[in-house]
Amino acid sequence: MRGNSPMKVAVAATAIALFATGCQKTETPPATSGGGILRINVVEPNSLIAGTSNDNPSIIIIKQLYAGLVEYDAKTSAPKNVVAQSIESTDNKVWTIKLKKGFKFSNGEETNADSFINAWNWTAYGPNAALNSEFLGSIEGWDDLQSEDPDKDGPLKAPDPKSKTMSGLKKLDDYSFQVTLAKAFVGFPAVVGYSGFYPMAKGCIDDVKACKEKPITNGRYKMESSWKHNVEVKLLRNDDYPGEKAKNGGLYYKIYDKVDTAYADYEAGELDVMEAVPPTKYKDAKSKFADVLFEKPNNSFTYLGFPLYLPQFQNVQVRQAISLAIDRQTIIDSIFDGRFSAAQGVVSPNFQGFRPNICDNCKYDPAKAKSLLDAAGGWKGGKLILWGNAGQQHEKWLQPLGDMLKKNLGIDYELKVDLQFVEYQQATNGKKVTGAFRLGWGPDYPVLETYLFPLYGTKGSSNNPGYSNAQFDALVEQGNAAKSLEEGIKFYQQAEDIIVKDVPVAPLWFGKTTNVYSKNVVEYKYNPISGSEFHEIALKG
Amino acid sequence: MLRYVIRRLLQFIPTVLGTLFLLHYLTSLAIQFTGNPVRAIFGDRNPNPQVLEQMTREFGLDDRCLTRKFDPCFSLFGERLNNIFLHFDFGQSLFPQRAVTDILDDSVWYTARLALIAFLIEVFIGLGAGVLAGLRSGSFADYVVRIATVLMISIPIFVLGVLARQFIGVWFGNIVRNDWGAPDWLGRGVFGAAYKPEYPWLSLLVPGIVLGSLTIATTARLTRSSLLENLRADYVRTAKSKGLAPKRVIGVHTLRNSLIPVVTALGLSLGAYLSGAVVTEGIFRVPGVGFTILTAVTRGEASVLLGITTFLVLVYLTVNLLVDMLYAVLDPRIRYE
Repeated sequence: MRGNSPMKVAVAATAIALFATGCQKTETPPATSGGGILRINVVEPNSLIAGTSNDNPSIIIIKQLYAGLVEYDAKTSAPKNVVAQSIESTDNKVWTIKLKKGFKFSNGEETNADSFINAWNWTAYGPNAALNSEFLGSIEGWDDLQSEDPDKDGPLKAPDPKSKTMSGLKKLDDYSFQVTLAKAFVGFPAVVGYSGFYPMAKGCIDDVKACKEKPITNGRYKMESSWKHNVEVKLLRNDDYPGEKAKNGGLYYKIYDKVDTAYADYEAGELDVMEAVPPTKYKDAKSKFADVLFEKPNNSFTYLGFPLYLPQFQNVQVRQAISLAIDRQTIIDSIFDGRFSAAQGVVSPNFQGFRPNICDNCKYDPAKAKSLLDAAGGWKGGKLILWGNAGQQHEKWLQPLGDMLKKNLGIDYELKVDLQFVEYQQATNGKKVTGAFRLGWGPDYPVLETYLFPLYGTKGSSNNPGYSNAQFDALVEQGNAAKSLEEGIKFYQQAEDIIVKDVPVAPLWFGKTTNVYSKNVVEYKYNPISGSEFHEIALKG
Repeated sequence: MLRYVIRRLLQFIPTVLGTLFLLHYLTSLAIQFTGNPVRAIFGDRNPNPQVLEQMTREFGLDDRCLTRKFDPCFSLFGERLNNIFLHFDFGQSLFPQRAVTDILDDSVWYTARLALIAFLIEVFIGLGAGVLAGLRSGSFADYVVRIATVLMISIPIFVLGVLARQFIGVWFGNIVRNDWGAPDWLGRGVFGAAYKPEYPWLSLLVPGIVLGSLTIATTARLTRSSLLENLRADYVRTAKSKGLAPKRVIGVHTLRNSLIPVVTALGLSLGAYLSGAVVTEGIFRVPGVGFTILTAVTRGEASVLLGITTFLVLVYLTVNLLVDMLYAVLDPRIRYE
């Protein structure tokens, strides 16, 4: 064995040659039914069974695999029927749902009333630990499917829930069923478009474990093979789909843990649609890929909450002053390269019923802020502590925000960004926050109510400021009980007016979707409610 | 020798048990101080307390000891040991829900391929360069090796990795793919920007070089200095004056002695590849062991951490044992009782 002996070189060369030739492709490209394969980046999903996933990566794929009762129109955001033929009610409490025929699961089963009833019962049943269980909570009888541990964490096992089926679900015949809600809600036809309400085949319920890896689906696409964890999920067009078929031959979701790596792969020509351009590459994308860059304000809302259980925040003029003293656009431009859109209200700019510029307190007016604060008797809270959860670099914008408050209102501030998310949520939920806190919110369904009641309703599930306003609650209820969605929206808008005047939270901004696509794409299509419309995107050649 | 090996194998047991307990205690502490990790799955919205409780129970995290700070949670530990050694059940991950043994089974093969490539590159290029530099000490080749290794050691791996991905994978790769019209396996496989399942070995070449870069440099330097030291030894002078052919003097006698410290380094680096590679796997999207550990740590997934670390401890112990046994082969003076 010497230096560069010919033997060593030969062995090395042979090894590399063997690798190159012998271990090349282990997979032939999928047999496409014409139309090409669209390649998309995604983060590892939680699960491909609709009832068990509430995370975005899972939902992106689930929406392509399954057909639910409704989906959302790209222009109006109104629900349009898919499997449902009609969803009707006279009192917004009891809904009769009639289904179309012809939607089949990949194992041959028909999509019928049972597919929905069984799916919803399975998701709601506590011991199944399905993450979307809460969404079914609007249906009567949900409580009977939950079980409570009698002695908390002690040695006694929790008893089985009283029932496996919800009393509010009644099958009328094979293709129609009745849903009784616990409380009237005009937006129910829109709610059922959320992926948590998608149907499940009986074959899936019988063997959930197998279904998790290779789901049984009834949508525009079907699984080409099992889910390759952390690597890819491959979908092929379902040519038996009775509705409008997909415009391409399949979807190839490549799983990337880091979005930077996905962007590098996009630059190397490996992706046709690259979703969520990383913030560090935003300027790069804007200059290099300007003609294939897509930007639109999206539905993710960021706000600064005020703990109304602390005396210094209880005067509405103090809260208005703080909100008016924040120059949102400057922060967005300097810290975020303009990637967000300043809030003009508390509801998403993409939703039916959005009105621009209705939030006077969201504008930047330091003079008015100062006069309001003086009228309230000045700031009595000592140092204002600005809370944010750790690890997301919130300090970057909380600091200039605090500086603005100091400059415009003379309020001294301190940052508290040391709590990890779980602890942080426990503090905000548990009403233990000692200052203003940053939080985010996203919609569950495209009805204004989702931005209103959960956050500001007295019994709202995420009412972290502890806000309670009987007039607001009444308006939301009136909206829920309205004869039609358009009428309901009028009430919701009045409720929104109360919030932007009372500012229990200072609305900050809505996110912006930034996607890039490749030159292979004929035309990129986007739905402000459900995201990129992959089934509508055709490929060239 | 056999008694030595058996003794070493028996020492595995307390090491593994001790590691398991330490990890168990640390992960329990983490949950006790930062809260229920199941809560994080719900994101911004507050979960219904009943749903949260049910899910916590599903994941086996409802033991009350997890709410008391500093509690060593012996009953939970006992349960875990019982599952591991009697049922071979390491528990489940939270998100997505998979058996830890499945996760390990999946991810080990990616890391094994990456580690093998890095190891082979390290052996051939690292050893080769080191021997070349050692034999031709003071020559141009020696200087090249010395400077190159310093550069490789001083550039941090995350810089090297990202640079390699951008320049080789994206910039150069685009030239290869678009301008030269190279065949698919070259353009997308070797010069791709990330791991591709269509080319399970080729697309790991560049990541393997990046992963091995630090150890190539250290191996080269170690071989070089070890060789230089041995070349000046008395026995070499004796052998030469005896009239042995230079090839035999260097090839058989000197190299064998120089390799002892190098073999240690190689063995340890193999262990490091299998366990570490976190940065490289993240940059090139290789869903291996390092990547799995990183996600488990960020999400506070105790079961996954315990399962994978147990596996890694066993790997390290085995590799160390093999390296020690290799000494006896290389140096006849070393004998174990």
